Amino acid sequence: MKIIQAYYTRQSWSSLKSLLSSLAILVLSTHCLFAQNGDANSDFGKFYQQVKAPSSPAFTILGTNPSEISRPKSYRALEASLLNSFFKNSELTFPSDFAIEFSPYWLASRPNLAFEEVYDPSPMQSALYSLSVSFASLGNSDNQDSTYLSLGVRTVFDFGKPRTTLEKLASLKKLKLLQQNVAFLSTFIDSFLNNEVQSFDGSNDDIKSFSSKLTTHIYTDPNLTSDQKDIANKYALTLIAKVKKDRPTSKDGVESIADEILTQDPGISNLDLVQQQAKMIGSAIEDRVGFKIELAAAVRNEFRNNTFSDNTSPTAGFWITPSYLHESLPIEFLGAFRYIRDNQDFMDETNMIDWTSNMDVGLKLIYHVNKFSLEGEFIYRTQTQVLEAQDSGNGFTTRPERKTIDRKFDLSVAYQLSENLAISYTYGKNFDLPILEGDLISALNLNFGIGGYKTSDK
Amino acid sequence: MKIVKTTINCQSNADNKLTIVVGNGQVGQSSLKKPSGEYVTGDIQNVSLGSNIAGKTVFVSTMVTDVNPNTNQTSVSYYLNQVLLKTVNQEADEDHSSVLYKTKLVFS
Repeated sequence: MKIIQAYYTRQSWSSLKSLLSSLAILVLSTHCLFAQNGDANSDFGKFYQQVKAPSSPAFTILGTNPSEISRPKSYRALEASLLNSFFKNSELTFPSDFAIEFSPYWLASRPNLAFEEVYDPSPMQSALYSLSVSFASLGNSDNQDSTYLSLGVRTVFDFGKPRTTLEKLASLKKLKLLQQNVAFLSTFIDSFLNNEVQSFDGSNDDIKSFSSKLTTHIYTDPNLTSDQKDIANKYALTLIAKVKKDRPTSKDGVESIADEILTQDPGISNLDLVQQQAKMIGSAIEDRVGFKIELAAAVRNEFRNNTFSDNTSPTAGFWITPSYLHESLPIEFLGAFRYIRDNQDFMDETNMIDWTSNMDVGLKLIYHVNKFSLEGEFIYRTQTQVLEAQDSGNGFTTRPERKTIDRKFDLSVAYQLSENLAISYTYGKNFDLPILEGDLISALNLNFGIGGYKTSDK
Repeated sequence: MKIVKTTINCQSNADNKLTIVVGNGQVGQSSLKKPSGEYVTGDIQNVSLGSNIAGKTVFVSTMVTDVNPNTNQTSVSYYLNQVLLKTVNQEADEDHSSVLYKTKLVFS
């Protein structure tokens, strides 16, 4: 701000020199940050990553990042995982290092769930589909007879819609055509083998007869369209060549070869193309615009002497992270709310702290214009610490409470230099408490690996 | 691509309308050959197989591809005249892979 004032009040060469030198000092005094991921390493990015609803709340509240996480996909697998971890020699035990995460809705097969319901679910359906439960245990490094257990749940209420409508999803049409060809060939060969081939012993006569019948059948069947004749002919030629080479000695052997070609020959079933379309559809399912809100909650308990009855009062937290992505306007809104109450007693410099609660609220608005983006953010932090009850000397006890409020706000302008490189400048006020040399933010950031817009399938 | 082979015995009715439902939020397409020799390919919904088809066998194939990011489970349900005949389940080998369901409907 001082620089701009100087520019307008004194337009002499000396003032310009002053301006340039001030600018140089400003730039030199800024923090040059080199980050791996743009948003995750910006100020809000770090904050957002910390306070957004975690994907596995139980692991987050336990403060662990398990190297092995059991992810059962059926009730049977879940039961096996729990039994293996909690029972040793038929006795219930606390596992010292265990992590499991599962989605209750997807533990069972859903034979009546149509693709359309997954592609564009209602908010309640999206919450049901995304509901996940995480559970973890961790041995106390200071006390071998003590174990921490944590339980978390997470879900997303998605009020938005897919970026690409079902009607415009080209990959779905392509996939269906590819599937139709394979399904048709399968039906065609099954019917042919059942109706036209009575027996097969692998002799030269049988192979010759089989080849002749198959090719004749394709060209004489009035029920086949010209496209079906083309793909059936290609399939038949491959099948005949393989039968001549492998010489099966039974009709079942011919059927096995027919199945093998259908499921493995890339030229017949186009499995690479099928997989490619399936990936694009999977991405389109997840590429949604509009408003959504992520919710997560977790609780952690310490069990002393590894017994259920001897446990500490729990530490609990919940996270709410709303976000909004506009369909066509280049506007993105992110919000975050986190509340964590930690009942763990500890001694600070002078007092015994009974419990601590931390509440963080943050908002961020991003506006993209071509390669430029303008970002504004505000973060509000409240920490409450309740001290141990103290005798006030008149027969009453008091529980002193300490409350600390802190705020951070800033504006950033960023320019995308290339697909993986962006430069940004941030100006604003930082949190008071952790800053030792003032709360001014003046940071020049160079970000590697910043994500661009997602490409949509149209 | 996995193959699941199933035989379903069913009773022939005055009319026999077949519906195939692909479940678990996956994408699948089917093909069948009617006893009359005609092929029907695509979504099979109330497709008439004809009347008096006792003693006939109808070959039905359905290719299901895993597109649902939440699960690799696939399933195909067969309904005759709106009555469920059978549901067949199979988990895809990996994300975005396919399962081919080959089913014989044997009418008596």
